[in-house]
Amino acid sequence: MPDISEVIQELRAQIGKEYGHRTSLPVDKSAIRLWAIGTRWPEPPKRLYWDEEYARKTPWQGIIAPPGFNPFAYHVDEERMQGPSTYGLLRTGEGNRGINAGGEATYHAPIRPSDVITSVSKIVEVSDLKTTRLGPSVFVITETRWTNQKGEVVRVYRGMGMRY
Amino acid sequence: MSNETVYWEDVPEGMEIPPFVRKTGLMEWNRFAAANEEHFEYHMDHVAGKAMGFPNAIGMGNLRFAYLNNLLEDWAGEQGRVKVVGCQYRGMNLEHDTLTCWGQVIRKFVENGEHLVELHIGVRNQKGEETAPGRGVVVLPSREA
Repeated sequence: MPDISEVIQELRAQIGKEYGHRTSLPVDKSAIRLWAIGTRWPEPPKRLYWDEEYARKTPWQGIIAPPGFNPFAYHVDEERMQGPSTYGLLRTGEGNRGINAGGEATYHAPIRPSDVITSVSKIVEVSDLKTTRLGPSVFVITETRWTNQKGEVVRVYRGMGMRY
Repeated sequence: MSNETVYWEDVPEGMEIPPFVRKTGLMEWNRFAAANEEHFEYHMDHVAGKAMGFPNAIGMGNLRFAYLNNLLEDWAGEQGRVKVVGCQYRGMNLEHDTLTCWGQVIRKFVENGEHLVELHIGVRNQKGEETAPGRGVVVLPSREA
């Protein structure tokens, strides 16, 4: 069974290489509305997210998705989840269990109905071996970039995962 | 939710913004699961949550992240926008927790023509425990623009 230092070596070898390409289906207005409801309930969703007539009069000039909207829920057009995201995940044991420790999203162009969003990720940093409450651990920082069909950057997410 | 426009010039450093508060449980988690396709048994089923050592099912980190988006979005209004949201997950969201998303202005600056405000943000539970400290940046309308 591999130990965590092997997993660290494998992750470091992948720094900067792209993985996890995904392309969404065209974003549906109903999915935007569902997100707006699911993140704000029991308050009603904001009109900007479901009322086209209202949204046209805002600076956004039409319905947009709320910041944080996930266009990849419920099936994607293309999914080629290759590369470092699978490193270690196919085995069991030390270094192959993970938790989401947090992250930071920077939003650029808004997502609009009918947009097609493409996602690609890379590892940017792999920590040295640490000892946490869960035992030998390593922190991995990844960057996931979303672009729309016009090539505009939509969102850049720096995520921190912990493997143990 | 406030509909009053907040202008960049009127925001002092140190200011606390109006909180976004939610009591959470299966009703909130299941609705978010439906939006995010996040159907894990430990978010939906108390038996599965207990099997992991929690009192009941547990809430999603992604929902707290979405609440932080709401916090900043409600403050920035439709004339402004949320530019950055981030947090670290330090504690769990247990059933019936009342989560208070809070924000405090730490810096004002102008960059590439945008009037920006940086904030400390976080998600406190009803015991006052900080479960998701982080940082946000919003673009606000300017009286000069």
